[in-house]
Formats: sequence, structure tokens, C-alpha cells
Amino acid sequence: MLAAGAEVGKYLIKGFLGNGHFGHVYHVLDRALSVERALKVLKISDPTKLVELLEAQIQYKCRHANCVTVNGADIHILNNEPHVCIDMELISGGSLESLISKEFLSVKNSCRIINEVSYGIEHAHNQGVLHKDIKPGNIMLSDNTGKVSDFGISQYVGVGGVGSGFAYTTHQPPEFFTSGVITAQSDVFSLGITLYRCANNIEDWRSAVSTCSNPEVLLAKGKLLQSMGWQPWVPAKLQKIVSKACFAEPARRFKSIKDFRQALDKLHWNLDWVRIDQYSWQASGSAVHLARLTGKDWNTFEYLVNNRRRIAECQTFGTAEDAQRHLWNFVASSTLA
Amino acid sequence: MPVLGFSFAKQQVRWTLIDGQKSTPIFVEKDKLEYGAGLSPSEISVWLKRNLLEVITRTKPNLACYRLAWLYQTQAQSYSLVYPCAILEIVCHDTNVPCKGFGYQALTAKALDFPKGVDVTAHCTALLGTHPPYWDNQQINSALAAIAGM
Repeated sequence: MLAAGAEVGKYLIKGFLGNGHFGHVYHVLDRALSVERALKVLKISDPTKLVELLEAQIQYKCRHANCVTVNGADIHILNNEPHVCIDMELISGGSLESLISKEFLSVKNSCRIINEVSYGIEHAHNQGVLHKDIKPGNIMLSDNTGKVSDFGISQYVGVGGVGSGFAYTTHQPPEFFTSGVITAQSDVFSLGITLYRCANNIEDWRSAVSTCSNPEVLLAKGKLLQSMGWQPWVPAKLQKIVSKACFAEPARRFKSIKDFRQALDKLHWNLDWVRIDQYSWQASGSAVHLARLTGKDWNTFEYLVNNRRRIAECQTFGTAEDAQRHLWNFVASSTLA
Repeated sequence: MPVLGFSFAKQQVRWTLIDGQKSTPIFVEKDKLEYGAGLSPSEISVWLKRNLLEVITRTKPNLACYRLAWLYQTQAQSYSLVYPCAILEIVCHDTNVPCKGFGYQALTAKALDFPKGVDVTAHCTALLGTHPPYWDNQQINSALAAIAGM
């Protein structure tokens, strides 16, 4: 680990950002250009092969508005050992994973980010590159735009095409566990799981998976999502799309990232609901919509548009559970037109 | 030389990639791209830019051609029919791909060097073959734009 204030060539370490697959990522100042960057530092395992440079080469080849930009790569001696240092765009917004843990991500916003990221992944596929590790932690948000990052275990199509032990296994398709053969459709599966996590706002994915009985078996059979179920506010149409992206059999899955995105593109959005708390949801746009439960027993459903009650929609239920179910159904059914 | 032809319609983009010569064009690939209703003009523009860029980058044509729409009456129609032409021009400029637009006068049998008096749509299908699904007039229009540019 490098401490703040340490120097790596023209870079001045300002802080630690996180861990990649094989190295550390630092917030640095490029003193030559006076700009802040992210610097990934990877220890070289075999100086005669320099396989660590492959990540930089692949990511550079995949330059796209929806992929984190690599500005350059170099080799520096740190602590008497050679290291590959990859100079990357510094993303201010953090990862999608950290966003889910901080705030409620609406279904529409989830789809928008996944839609944006799909362009970056499609571009990588068109360059003959499989990402192989798509997950919320590897999606960065720059000015609220999704960008794919960490091409640490990516590889060119046809170069072996096998799954990597370093991949986040809960995002891998069944073929990863059976034949080990990874294709572009494996990235479709991983992106589908990523959208599932976002739309359902699952903050602690590991805990959520561990609550299933025999998660390893479910993963290998591609039945994890069926077992985990959906949050009631996620529209059925979107559930269908994500389920198709995550089919166990590749033949039933979307054939490409583009096909997956096209299905999302065709959704006709209505209200962008955001959960305020357990009892109230708000959607802002040309008007402010509020759907909430009120009353002493939380059994009265109210729907307000610009603070005016829509009497026809408001009703009182026998139990709080019924009212809560109605609130979720209302949100799910009015998210899409 | 590979030529990419586009035809734009409400909430969709059709494209066809043609190779060979103008007299003997060869069908290579086609696709239909759609977006949902209810998008704002800026959302439509961004969608068009991203998708057109992806098609151009992937297919690497020597030339991109599009059929100019001349029948639009509402503002909403202009988002589907006029904006795409301008955005395609920008994308082609940024990717160094020459780009040409063709009005209906350029898509007649005479202008396309087809036999005199033939139905251009039927003749185009006779030249390229049928390529279902959705090998309809809209798709054939994109192929005709590509042939016109050859």
C-alpha cells in the first residue's frame, strides 16, 4: 500500500480508492498536467511476460463514453519491485454498488444506468472483448452516467473463453460452473443480475444470497432469481425482461447485449417512483405525485397529485397489510404506461 | 464497398448493409432498432446518437446513406424523421464516414439504374432476396438508400 504523499513518477498519491482484482487503486495528482486521476497499481508477477499490461491494453481498446477511460500505462519500481501503473479517468460519483447502499434507486433510474452501461459492454464485445465481471461494484457513475470499469479479468473472445476464478460468482451464468465456457451471453446474464440487484435495491447482496437454501446449487442451475423473488414495486414487464436476460439456458437468453438493451428501450415509462419511507412514495416530473398510507393503523391509501387528493384512487383497507400491498401494486402498475 | 442505408420512422430506425456493385448489390446484414414512447426530444437525440454510433462503429461502412423524409406534419414526427438525419450526419462526421441523404427523386427506378418502369421495392427484393423478419417497405427503403449511394 502506498501512503498519501508518496510519489510514483509524475503522480502524487492523494488517497486510497479501493482494490481491483490484482492491485490497489489510488486517487492521484498527475503533476505534469495538473489533473486528478485514478492510478491502478499492479505488482508484476513475471517481468518477462508483463500480463498485467493486458488489462490496460484491453481497456484502451474499448475506449467508449460508457467505459472508464485509460489514459496510459507505465512500469514503475515501487519498494524495489516492478509494478504496472494504469492511469485512468477519476470518477467522482463512486460505484453503483455504493449508490444502492446510500439511497433508494428508482426502477427507472436503475434501467437508465444499465441501459447506458450496455453501450460500453456492447462496444467491448464489438472489439472482441468479454468483460466477464459485470456487477454493481464495477459500474462507476460519472455525472450520473454509468461507465464500465475493471477489465482485470476481461479477455478477447476465443482466447480460451473460460470463466475466471476471480469473477464474482453470484453474477455468473450456469455455464460458468458447468462447461466453464464464457461468451457474450454470459455478460448478458451478469448485466441482468446487476439490474435485478438495482431494481430491487438489494444493499447487501451476499446476505441476500446466503438466505437462500443451497445458493451454490441454485447458482449452478441458474435458479437464483426465482428463489430470491422480486420486490413488489418492480413492474411485471421489467421482471420478464430481467428473467429473460438471466435464463439458465443461453438459447433462451437475449442473444446479445443489444437485444437486452432493445427490450429495455421499448419500455414506456410513466412515473419515476422513489420510496420515501415504508409508507410513502413520490414521483416528480411535470407534477408531484405522492402515494402513501395514512391513518392510525396505516390502512388508508392516498394518492395526491400536486398536493390534491385524487379521491377516486383513495381507499381504506381492512388491514395494514392489504393497504401496503395495494400501495406496492399501485407503484408497480403506474411506473410503466 | 460496404454501404449502410438508413430509413427512419416513428420510434424506430431501420438499417441495411449492402456490398457489391450498384448493378449487383449483395445483402450483408440488417436490423431494426426501436425506442419506447414518451421520450423527450433530448432523450430521443441521445438514444439516436448512441445507437447510430454503435451501428457505424460495428459495421464500418465506406459510406452511410439515408432516406430523407419529406412527409411530416407535426413536431413529434420531426423528432422521428428529421432529427435522426442530422444526428447521423454528426456521427458520420465524427467517425470519418462519408454520409449522403437521398430524397424521393433519387429513389426512383431511373435514378437507381433499375429497368424502366419497375416497382423499385419489388425489384430491390429481387436483387437482394427476402430477409425476414420485417423485410417490409420500411426496411427496403433503407436498402434502396444504400443502393442509391453505390
